[in-house]
Amino acid sequence: MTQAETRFFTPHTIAEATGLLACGMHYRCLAGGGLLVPALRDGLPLTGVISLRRVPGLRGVERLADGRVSIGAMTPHAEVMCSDLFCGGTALVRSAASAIAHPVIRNMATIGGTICRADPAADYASALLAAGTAVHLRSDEGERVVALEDFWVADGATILREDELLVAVSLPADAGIGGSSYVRFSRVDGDYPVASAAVRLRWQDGRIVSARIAIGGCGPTAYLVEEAEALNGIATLDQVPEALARAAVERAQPRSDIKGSADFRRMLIPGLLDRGLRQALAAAP
Amino acid sequence: LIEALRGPLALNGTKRGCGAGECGACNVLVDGTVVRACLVLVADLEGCAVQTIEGLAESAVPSHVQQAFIESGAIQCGFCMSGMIVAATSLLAENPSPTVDEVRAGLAGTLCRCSGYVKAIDAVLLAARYGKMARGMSAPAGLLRQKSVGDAIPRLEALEKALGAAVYTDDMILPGMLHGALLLSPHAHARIVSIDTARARALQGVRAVVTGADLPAGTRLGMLIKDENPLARERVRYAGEPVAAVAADTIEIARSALALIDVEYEPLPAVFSIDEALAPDAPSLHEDFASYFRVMDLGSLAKNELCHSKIIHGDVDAAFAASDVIVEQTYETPAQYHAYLEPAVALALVDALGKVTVWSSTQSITRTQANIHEALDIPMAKIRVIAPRVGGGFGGKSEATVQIFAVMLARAARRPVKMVLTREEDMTAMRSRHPARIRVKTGATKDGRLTGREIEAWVDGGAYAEESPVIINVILFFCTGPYRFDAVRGEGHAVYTNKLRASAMRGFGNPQITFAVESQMDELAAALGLDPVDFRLKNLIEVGDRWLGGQPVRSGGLRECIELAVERSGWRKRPRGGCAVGDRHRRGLGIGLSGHISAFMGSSAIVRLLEDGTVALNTGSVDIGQGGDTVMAQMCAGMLGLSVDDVRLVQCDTDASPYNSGTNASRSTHTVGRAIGVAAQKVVDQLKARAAILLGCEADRLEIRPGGIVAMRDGNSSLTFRDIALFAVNAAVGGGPIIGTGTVMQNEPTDPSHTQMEGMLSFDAVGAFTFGAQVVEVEVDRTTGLARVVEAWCAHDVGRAINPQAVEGQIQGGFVQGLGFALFEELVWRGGHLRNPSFSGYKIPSSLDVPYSIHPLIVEVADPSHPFGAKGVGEPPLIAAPAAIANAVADAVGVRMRTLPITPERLLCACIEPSVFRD
Repeated sequence: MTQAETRFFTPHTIAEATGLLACGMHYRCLAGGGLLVPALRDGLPLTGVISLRRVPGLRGVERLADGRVSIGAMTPHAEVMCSDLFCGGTALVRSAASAIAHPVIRNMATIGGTICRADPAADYASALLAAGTAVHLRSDEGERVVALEDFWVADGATILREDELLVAVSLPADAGIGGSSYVRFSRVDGDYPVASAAVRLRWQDGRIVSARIAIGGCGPTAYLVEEAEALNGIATLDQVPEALARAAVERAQPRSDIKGSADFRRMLIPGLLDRGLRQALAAAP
Repeated sequence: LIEALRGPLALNGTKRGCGAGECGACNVLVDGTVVRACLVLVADLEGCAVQTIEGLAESAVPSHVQQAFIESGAIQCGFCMSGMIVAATSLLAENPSPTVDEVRAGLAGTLCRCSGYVKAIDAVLLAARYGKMARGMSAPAGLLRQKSVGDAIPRLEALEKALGAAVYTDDMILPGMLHGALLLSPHAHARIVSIDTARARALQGVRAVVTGADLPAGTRLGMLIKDENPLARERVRYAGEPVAAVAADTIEIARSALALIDVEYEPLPAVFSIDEALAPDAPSLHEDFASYFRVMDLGSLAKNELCHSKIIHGDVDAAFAASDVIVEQTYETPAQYHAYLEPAVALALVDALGKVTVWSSTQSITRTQANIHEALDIPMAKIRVIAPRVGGGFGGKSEATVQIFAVMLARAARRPVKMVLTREEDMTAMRSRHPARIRVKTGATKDGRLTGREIEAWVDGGAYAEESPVIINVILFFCTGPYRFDAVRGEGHAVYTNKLRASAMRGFGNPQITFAVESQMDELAAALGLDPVDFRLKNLIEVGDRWLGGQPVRSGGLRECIELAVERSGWRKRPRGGCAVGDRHRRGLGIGLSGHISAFMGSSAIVRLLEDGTVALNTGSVDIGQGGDTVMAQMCAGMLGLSVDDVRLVQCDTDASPYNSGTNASRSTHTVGRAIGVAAQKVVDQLKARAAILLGCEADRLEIRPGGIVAMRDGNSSLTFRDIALFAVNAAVGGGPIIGTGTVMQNEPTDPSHTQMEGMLSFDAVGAFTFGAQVVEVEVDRTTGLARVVEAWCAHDVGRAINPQAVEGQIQGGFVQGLGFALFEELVWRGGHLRNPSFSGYKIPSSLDVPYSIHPLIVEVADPSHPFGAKGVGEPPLIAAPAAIANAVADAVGVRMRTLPITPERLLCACIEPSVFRD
């Protein structure tokens, strides 16, 4: 196998892992393997692979003392979708996890790997964005916490430095309040979505007090629809406000690919938004 | 991990279907969790427990999950089975009592191309029941009865496939074996200025490099037109065309060497569509076409046209003049990929005397042998072709491809060479279904009687002809559908383009034409204000009628098929025009009929009585997963009053097997069955003749009784086959060992006074006509345009179901391939380059994309030419499906989709509703 020519590291602490990243040898981290292993088989020249499998503390979902929910970078989707720590405003994270690919892939693929791949069509992309997720990046110099919308730069590009390791993502302490939804459309089951919509609503005295909406698959990154605040004060939804639907479409910069044309993606956005809002409202208390 | 399992550990049950985590054939358990072995590094597994399919059984006794897969008939080609059974085992460990939908979700992403998933789901449900039974009670082995004709017995080889022990070509290793890799053209059309292999040869571990220059001068391949060099010479005509091949000590070295082959190309203008190819200023793909050897009349040809066929019956103009309603529309279908789970693979060995032996994944050992002979000018007597287990074919492995390269490399290196294509290579360089454009014009009287039909069809054959002329012929031949017409006129064009060569694929042109004409039947019904079923029933072809060409329809249960599908689906109780389901969904029902054939070409069989009274059956008919071996054994057993356990099948081997043209055209059960009938009858006659000597009576007083006994009809005397066999091989009297041979070639001449044909192959060997009717319920999501099949009722007349379980599997699996063709499967090229050469880009149905409720409805109206009345059912279940689905979509949302696949994008654009877009 190709890996014989590539050094293989199995660090047992985060510090060991970041130390390897800091040594300037362009080592790559191995998470679920879905991208890296086929690339190695195809002859991708790599000096070294750092397996994160044995690094303690990178896997699992937990509620922190301050109320935030933290998801370790090496947590596979199957574990997220089975966790009971997601509810209300964060239930969409679990919905997104359960929509990713197929059961076997969900056993392998991790949230950290998905975020670092920065595929704007990934189910997590719009869902985590709407959930208000922050990413925790560790290096020998310490940890920085970055909002997800600032982490992704473009399709496949992030601000992750070569000496940094994404160790976890966290959801804000109050994110669980309210209702949320994740809706997607794909050609067939388990395919990457052509487009997706993620909605997080907060509710007070029968009215929406805040709304966070993200659209995936329709631009170089998933994006937030800032016009979502137009929903504030609304009690029931007969129709998605036209300005909001229009804004969601206008913010899109989709490209055409094998899954569908750019126009088709624009066509899908209002319908998915409508579906997402209705589901989130239905989920609100 | 997959390399370690299949290499040093020799745990070959774990299969390689894609190498990218997209197919599931390599599912294994790591610490009890299912993972894809192709996405795991061995170095990352220190301290982990890995369990493969081999580890699920205890000393060759199948686990209850494996047993359930065997008994349910879920196992067809078997290539996906390890992955499927591993996934099912894990699913049941987590959820011992899953619902149908939980099973569908649990198996999702583990692809199967044969079964349509229904029986796999049944298997998991059965395994769940077995799981609850006390140990030792599970899997009663003796529940099977006679195991002969008409019995729903599991595949004979199901156990070895369930255990992961079945040997496919890539599981074989020979001493000193090298690994082959293939260099494909990056250009769609280019002149090869030069090829320099020196740098590749110099790489350590490279043992041979071959190019088109190593082919014997003047040899070209092609089933009907000799137009193709297996390795390009002077010119490449599609992106992906093989240019050179390397054999090396390891596959990694071989692949590295490919990058060191220096090929200088001079790009040429290219054509990528039928219209571009037929344009007056188009570049000619085959300037020397006129000099190519061809085996049939190809008609009068335009530039880049490789076959121009015409078929005329009656006076169409008069028929149209007598019509009250005429509908004319054009329909288009895409390039569908066969998507067998086992990629193309061959292993070649050349002995010291120059004799070549090739093990490969093929649908025909005789075609493979002939292709190697043609390409390399090796006498056929020096070519031995063997078929191990084959992981699906669906038409794509009818003609040889990698076999030729493996032989070239093995001869050059003087070492055995194995060549396996990657999934991407297979999709780029093998074959696809012919994309087609078909204009159909049909007339009818106002009381709903069909009058005349005119069609003009174009198929995109790609860069080389292969079977394209017959495809266009078949499209014309089936342009009536199973209906009576006063007059028919058809014209067909097969065209060269700078794309992957198109070829045989399940249905062979008939799915394309049936989509067109069965869609149009609904359009005509709507124009006449008739129910689509009633309109069809008014016009059905009947037994005794003549098909286009003039041959009589000798058997058929089409009316019964329609009645069954209509009754079971509740067609009469449902309003036409669909119904709403919630706010955003609508459902509709659609019907599609199919008429097809079961035969073409020659078959033979040898039945030999062995000394213990069992028999050896040798047909050369390759079981590509459809169940041929089992059905052949059942027919042989049925002829002789034996159980299939008493029939030994001889592996398909050109050194031993009699001629069989191939596993194509829904032909095996019918034509090989007829040959078995002839051969077995001779064995019966000889048994009786020998027994007559032993019993001292007339042979005509004897009869065959179940259990291998020859007895006097009116007395108590009897002999076992064993008694007679021992007598036959030892006694000087009686005529010696008992052996029966049979060869069959259908000969039912077409009638020029009934139908004029031009540019057509002889259809005299067309065989028995077969019929089917499918009703499909579809649900359309009006927000996204997604159409899903909710339920399907597939009634097929199989003459006689030799093995009802296998028939059901063929119906469900064929329907699901038709579903994929109808709704999402399409190879897409841009600038001659395939854009979706993977299972992530090209989607085949997974378990959640198909309904569990695909009801196989078997109709049995015996065909007089077959010893048991049986006809084939390999292709028909696919043929009607696309039209039935398109008709159901039209019923649901009132939009007629004339282009396949009916993608959400196409459907949404077609029924665009302003309210959805809020503009």
